Formats: sequence, C-alpha cells, structure tokens
Amino acid sequence: MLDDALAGTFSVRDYDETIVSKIESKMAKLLDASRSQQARVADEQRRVHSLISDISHQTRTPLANVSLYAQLLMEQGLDEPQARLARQIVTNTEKLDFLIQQLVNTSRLESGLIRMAPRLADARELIRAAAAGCESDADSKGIRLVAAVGDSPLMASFDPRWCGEALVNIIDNAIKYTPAGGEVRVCAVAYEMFVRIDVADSGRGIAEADLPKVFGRFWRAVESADHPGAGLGLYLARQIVTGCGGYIHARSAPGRGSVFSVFLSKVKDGRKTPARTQVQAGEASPSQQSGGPQ
Amino acid sequence: MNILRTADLKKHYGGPPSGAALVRALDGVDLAVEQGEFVSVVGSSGSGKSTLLHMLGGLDRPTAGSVEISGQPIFAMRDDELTIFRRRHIGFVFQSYNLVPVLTVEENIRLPLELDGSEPDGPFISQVIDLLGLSDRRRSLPNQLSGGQQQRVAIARALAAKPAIVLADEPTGNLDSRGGLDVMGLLKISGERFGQTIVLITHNPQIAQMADRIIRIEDGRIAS
Amino acid sequence: MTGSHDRAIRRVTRRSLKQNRSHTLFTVLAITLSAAMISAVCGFAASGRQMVFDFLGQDVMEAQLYSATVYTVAAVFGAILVATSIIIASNAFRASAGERTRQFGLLGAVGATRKQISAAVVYEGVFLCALGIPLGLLVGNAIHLAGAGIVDALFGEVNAARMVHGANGASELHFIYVFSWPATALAVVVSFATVLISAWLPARQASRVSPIDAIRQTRPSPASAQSVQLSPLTRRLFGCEGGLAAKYAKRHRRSYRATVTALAISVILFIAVSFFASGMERSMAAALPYAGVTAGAEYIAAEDRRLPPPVSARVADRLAEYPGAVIHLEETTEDGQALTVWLAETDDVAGFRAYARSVLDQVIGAPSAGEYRLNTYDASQITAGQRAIMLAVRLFAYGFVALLTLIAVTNVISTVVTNLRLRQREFALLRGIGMSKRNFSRMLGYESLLSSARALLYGIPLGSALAYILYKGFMGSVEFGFAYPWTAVGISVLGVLVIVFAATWIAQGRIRRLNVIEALQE
Repeated sequence: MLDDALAGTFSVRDYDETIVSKIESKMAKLLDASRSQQARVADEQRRVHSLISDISHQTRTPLANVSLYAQLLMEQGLDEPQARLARQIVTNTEKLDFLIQQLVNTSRLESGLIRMAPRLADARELIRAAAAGCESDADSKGIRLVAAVGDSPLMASFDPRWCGEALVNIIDNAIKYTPAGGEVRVCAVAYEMFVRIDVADSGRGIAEADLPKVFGRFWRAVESADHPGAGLGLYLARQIVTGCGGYIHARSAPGRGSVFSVFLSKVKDGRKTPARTQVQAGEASPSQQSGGPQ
Repeated sequence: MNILRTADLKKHYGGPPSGAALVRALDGVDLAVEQGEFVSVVGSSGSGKSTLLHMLGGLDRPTAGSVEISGQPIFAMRDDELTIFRRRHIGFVFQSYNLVPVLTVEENIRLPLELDGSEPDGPFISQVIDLLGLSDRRRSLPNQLSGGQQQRVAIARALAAKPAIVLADEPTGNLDSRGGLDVMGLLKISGERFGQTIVLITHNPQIAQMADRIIRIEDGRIAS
Repeated sequence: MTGSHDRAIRRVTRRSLKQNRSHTLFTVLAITLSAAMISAVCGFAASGRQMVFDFLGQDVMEAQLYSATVYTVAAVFGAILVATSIIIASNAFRASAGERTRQFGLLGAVGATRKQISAAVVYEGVFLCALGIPLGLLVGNAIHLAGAGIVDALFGEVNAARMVHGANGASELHFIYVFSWPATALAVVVSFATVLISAWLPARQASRVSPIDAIRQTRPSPASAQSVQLSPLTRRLFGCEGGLAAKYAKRHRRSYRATVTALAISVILFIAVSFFASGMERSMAAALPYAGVTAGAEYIAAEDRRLPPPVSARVADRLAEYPGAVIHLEETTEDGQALTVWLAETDDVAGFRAYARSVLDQVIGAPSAGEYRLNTYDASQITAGQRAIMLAVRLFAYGFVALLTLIAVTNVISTVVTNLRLRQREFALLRGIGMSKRNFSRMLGYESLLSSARALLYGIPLGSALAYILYKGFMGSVEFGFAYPWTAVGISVLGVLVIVFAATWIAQGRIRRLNVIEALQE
C-alpha cells in the first residue's frame, strides 16, 4: 500500500470493517489532501509565472517605442547638454530591455516552459562559439580573450544553444570585471565523469564571503556599482548548467582575479528530472529550491 | 524544513573515573541543515569533525546533547532501533569506501535495502547507477575497480535507499585530485537531481568549497 | 534465519566462506572429524549393546547391567570427544569471526542489526554442518564397520577357545556392525549442538563490535590500567625479543590462555589415559598371567602322592633350559587330584613337548602302576582366547590414546594457528617499524616457549594427580604399586614442544611472507 502511495498509484481496494481498510481510507484522504495542496501551490506558481511573462511581453512594445523616439530625438540636432540627456535615455532603455529579456528567460526556464535538451557533443565547439560571441566586447575594452581548447575532442552532455548562452554570460561577466589591458582565459580539461571549462579573469576578485552569493538573483558586488549589468547573468547561467546535469563552481581571491568553472556531465542523460522522487511533507517546489543560499 | 539539527552536542573521552586525561572531542555543537542543502564541515585533524559525523549518523553516542533527524531524536532510540533507523534514513560514504569485498557492485548498492527486507526500486537504482557511470560495472567485484570507481559505488549505495540525509566522511581522502573532483561533482549533481541533503566533512578547504555552505569546526566547536 | 532480511546476510556469509577456502576446508574437516568420532562411539555403543543382548538374552538383569556399563563407557569417551570438539570448533569460529570483524562493522554501519550479525556466524556454522556432518557420519560408520570387524575377529579366537558361556546355550561373542537409527540421530544432534555452542560465543562477540571500532580497524584491546612491567631478569635472560614476547602474552591474555589451556588439557588427558592404558594392561597381565603360554607338561596323581617341591623345582629348572622357553610352575588340586603343571611360553611347541617328555622321564621316571600320569600338551589353543582378550584390551586402550593424541594435536595446531592469524596486523606493524625476520622468528620462538612451559607446568602435575586418582579408584584392588608414568610425561613434554614450535613455524611462514603495507591497510 505504502509503496503504491510513494509511486503515486495508490487506490483503495476494499471497503470493509477491517482495520486495514480503515487505514487505506485514511491514507486515501491524506493523499488527496496533500495532492490538492500541491495542486494549489503549482497553480499559484503558474499564475506568478504567467504574470511575469505578461509583464515582460507587454512592456516590450512601449519600450521599443521609447527607444525609437529617443533615437529620433538625437537625430534632431541637439546641443551638447541636450544630447547628453538624450544619450542617457537611450542607454537606460537598452539596459531596461536587456534586463527584461533576462527576466523572461529566467521565468521561462524556471516554469519549465523551456526544457534543456542535452546531447553528447564536442565542448570545444561550445567554447569557440561563445568566445567568438564575446570577441567584440573584449576588443572594445582592450582585453585579451584567449580560448585554449587543445587538440583532442571533449565529449560532454549539454544543450548547445542554452549552454552556449550560459557560457557567454560567464565570459561576459569576466570581461565586465576585468580592467582594460587584462586577460580573460577560457580553457577546458576532461575528467573521468566531467568536462570542466574554466573562465579565468584578471579582475579585482571576489571576497570569500561573497562567493556563494555570486550566483544569486540580482547580486552585484558593491564595488561594481559603476559597471553596467542586471545581476542576472550568473544566476541564469547556473540554472542552465544545472538543468543540463552539471554545475558551476567559482573560486577567487580579492585582487587576484577569479576562475569560474563550468562542469558538464559526461553521462548521456544528466537532465534534471522535473518530478521529485522523494515524498516529503511540505516540500517546496523545484524553483524555490534552486534559488541557492541567500 | 530542518532535516538535521543538533543541540549542544558534546562528546568527552576519559576523565576522572578512568584516570586518563579528559579529551573534549565535541564541546557543545549546535548545527542545523535544511532539506536539500549540501553542507561541508571543515577542520584540521583532531578538530572533532569525524566525531561529529559519527554522532550525526548515530554510529556513536554523545556524552550530552541531542541529534534530530527529520524531527526524530535519534539517541532516544535503543541500539537496534537506531541501526534500523540508520539503515532506512541515513546514507554513509566513508573515506575508505568500505564495500563488502565478496559482493558485486550491484549487490553492494542494494545491500542496505536487502538488509531491511524491502524490495529495491529497480528503475531508481538503474538511474543512480547510470548517473554515476557504473552501468558496465554492475557485476564487477570491488577489487576490480579503481579507487574513484569504488567510491562511486559507495555513493550509489548511500543514495539507493533514498535516505533523508547522506553523510560523507572525507570521501576524497584516498583519491588523487582528479578522482576527488569527480566524486565531489557527482555528489553535487546527484544531490541536486534527487533532492538529497548532503553533509560532508573534510580537512581540505578546496573540497569544502564545492558545497553550498561551509561550516568550520575547531577544538570540538563551531567556529563562528 | 528465513525471510528476505537475511538473504543478504546469508549471501555475504556464503561468499566469504568461498573466498577463505583454506579456512573453510579446515573447519569442515574439523567438524567431519568430530562428527565421525561421535558417530563411531555411538555405533560402538550400539554394537556393544547388541553383543550383550545376543549373548546374555535381553531380559536378564545382568544384560541390563552390562549394557549400562557399555553406555557409560561410551558416554565418557563421547564427553571427552565433545569437549575437545567444542574447543577446536570454537577456535575455528573465533578465527572466522575475528577476521570478519571489520566486515561485521561495515555491515553494522550499513544497517545490519546485532541479531543479523550473530545470525551470520550461526548461519556459517549451520552451513558448514550441512557439509561436515553427513561426511562425518559416513566416515564414522566406516570406522565402526572396520572396528567391528577387527573386534569380531579377535572374538573369534575367544570363541574358538570355548572360554565363554552365555544364556540360551550361546557360547560365542559377536561384535557386529549394527546400524541403529537412535545412535545416528544422537550423533547428528550432538555434533550439531557442538558446532552451535562453539559458534555462539564468537557470534555474540562479533555482534558487540561497535561499527566505529571496526571501521577504524583499531581493535583497542582492553589493556588493563596496570602497566605491563616485567622483571629485569626476564629481560636479561631472553633479550628484547623475549621481553616483547612476554608483553604480548600479558596483553593477549585471552588468546594466550586459550593456547595454554588447550595444551594443558591435552597433556593432562594424555598422561592420565596413558597411565590408565598401561595400568589396564598390567592388570590384565596379572589377571591372565598365562596368556602367553603355548605348551605344558603335567603330573597328575592322587592327593597324597603330590610331587615334592624339590622334584618339581628340578623339573622346572631342566625345562627352563630349553632355548627360549619361560616356565611357570603351578600346583593345584582338582577333583581330589593333585596336579603339578609346568607351563611354558615357547615358540616351538612340538620341540618343547619332545624335550619335556624326555625331562619328565629322566627326573620322575615312568610310572610303574598307575600311581600318576605324565603328560605334555599343546596349550596354544587354550590360551588363544586369553591372548585375544589381551590384544583387544591393548588395542582399545592404546587406540584411544592414539585417537586422543590426534585430537590433541589438531586442537593445539588449530588454537595456535588461529591466535597467530588474529594477530596478523600487529605483526605487520612490528615488521613495518623495522623488526627483522630473524628477530621476529626469535620473538615467536619465545612465545612458543612461554606457552609450552606454562602448559606443562599446569599439565604435568594435574595429569599425574588424575592418574593417581584413577589408580586409587580403579586399580586399588590389584596388588602392584603406583608406578609413576615417566614415559608418558616424557612424551608429552617432547610432544608439546614439538607441536607448539611446529604450529608456530607453520603460521609464521605465512606471516613472514605477508606484505606489510597490505596488512596494515586491511
């Protein structure tokens, strides 16, 4: 009876006067109660997610319009102070757009609208593509971007599109926090069960106490207030990598730069299973779980 | 929800009656671990971390204080009751793997369940075996495996019974740095995959950093 | 032991047995041996009982008495066998439990309860019994069959001499092989119980192992608070290795004591039983002084015409001159007639008779008119029965001693080897810190010396005491004095030294070859 309950296939068999039957009935009630509770929680989540989706969706058009008008304004021939103000409008609009984009991705990922589709592929491709995508940014800041992938193939299990995006976020982050003239280095090592991709920067480093928080939502170090960014990039990257059955680990020393290591599983289906295989009373939903320690 | 909680845990050896010097292995430890967390306890040798782990797993009784797992005070139970509780709700990974040498990999993994007389969840165990890269080693004996592979079997064994908490005692101690990284990675992702709570003790700060939360222990006490 | 709970335990036990092949084989052999002997003893008892009933008839009270005697003797033998079997089997199980302590701790950490762990040791016992007892029964019955054959052959001589008369006109003793279900059942039950008893104590010890100690692989011996100090004399006499040996002896009190006890018991039994055996033989010889007689000469006359002593003495002297003959002179009265008989032990019956004839004629002279008769005869047939009985007694007595020795040797070897194997890790440690092979051998040598000396110190006095008690109890009636069993003592001293050193040497060979690092890591 209990095994069935755990597997979710329980149904009452007999209705009679025996104690077993009474227990079965009570069990059925208990399961019903917990099931409806779970359904309610899931329902609420869905509503929140769709609200977020709606918000981001609906704001796109007005935002695009603001951007457009700001551009038009700038072409009107303004004097310096006015032009500066107009430029500010454009910059901030871009920031807002970027932020909303990230939020949309995040919410879609968390609500399961996006599923990772990991397959076995050569991680070197992933690295090359991501490095290429960040090339121009690095150049404009005067930072050297090195991708050292070696000669042998590095087979791992990942979703090329999404993991590519995650890697880009990380490299982007490294570029952001490295001063001009510095170096961001991407290299890869194969282990028995994992492929590890290191992104090393020569920036200001992260304090030890802050390391676990780095992957949190909207986290930005105090010192980086002057750098543009939404604070969601690393969070998103971690969600993606974990969803592919891997994990990200960071180490750093203040003043000596940081290394962000992406571990990709070599096992074919390391995908995170949506349904939990443990039954625990009052269990939190998956998205609340993976928020990381705050 | 706190899946593990200790209150003022103490373990003393020796002292007046026996005439040997008093050793305070644990001197008042308060600890709480949330469900799903991956926690590491770091300390140098002699700091009391092994003693702490043995207490958490009910392998040894404290001089004072209590340990609660899933709300159950484990030292209120008798020895045999505690053994059965441990079998069903606590998974262990040891530094020296501690696999039964005469059983195959698959038999070793199923052992806690068979001792319980329960039917192992076949599909789940297959999942675990696949995740840990042991699919083509099911019928090997421990002495035919490398250290890293043996430790993976130990992890699979700990996970097989879907315990409330997995306790790992220096799991990378007998492995080289690569093997150690593999093991840590696997612990992390299997914890993530199966929603498993993991408490790990080590003296190696690099290993400790792989966890979500680091707790330092020194001279039998948690360093704040 | 049934149920899926224990399936895993049973599997682990079976596989461990398969892996430790030599140890398993040895244990099965021990069980087979003990089951065989118990079964043989039961079988002999059954045959003995049958023999008594056939001869005297079932309802006669004497029959009950004799069969009770048979049972008592069998029970005594059996008890000794069972006691020794328990010692041997305990050793075997203690060894296996000791070697598997780590495995048990592991199982405990993984979730086996104490009950399950002690069940493992018991299951091992049951499993080995399933192998050993049937084999033992087979061997035991074979021994029974063979033994019965031998005894029956001996009885054949007795019967031929027409020495015995029983009830219902039965005049022959037969000792035949009797297959008795009760005897077999008893043997099985006793053997089984022996093994279970032997397995029980180590089982309890194994289950008490705390998982932590076992996992840590340190078996902190409960060293008593008092430090292990030695007299400076010991150090001086025996050097560093001797000192170490003495310290180990003090530390491992229990296993050391086991070795010494096993040895001492063997010595005691050996001395007592040898004494008993030789005593029995001597009393037999006293009771049947003429068992060796093969020929005779006699003078028969009326009571008043008895042959005067000087004459009979002269005849005896002359007869004694015959090469290789031993003469006994007997004067008796039978049916109102005076009989003077010269009994001779000689190999050449015919020759002696001829010679005797001539002597009689010369010394006494042929009778003129029926006053007396002179005769010579062949006595071999008459005394054949007596000889047979003596042989039988000798066979039983010394056979039992031999059996006992065999048991004692097995016992001691098993104890010594077991104890050494349990200490493998300690030895590896010593080797690891730099003790050379020679030093090591010397240390073991001193240990052997210590155990042997202790054992003999207890064994010889107690054995002599037991011998004296036996003398007083059973042989006080016979008129010869207590002869101290010097030979037996000598043999046991030699035997103990040889066995202990041999066993140590065997076990030591294995330890020396041990890879230090592997052993430490085990």
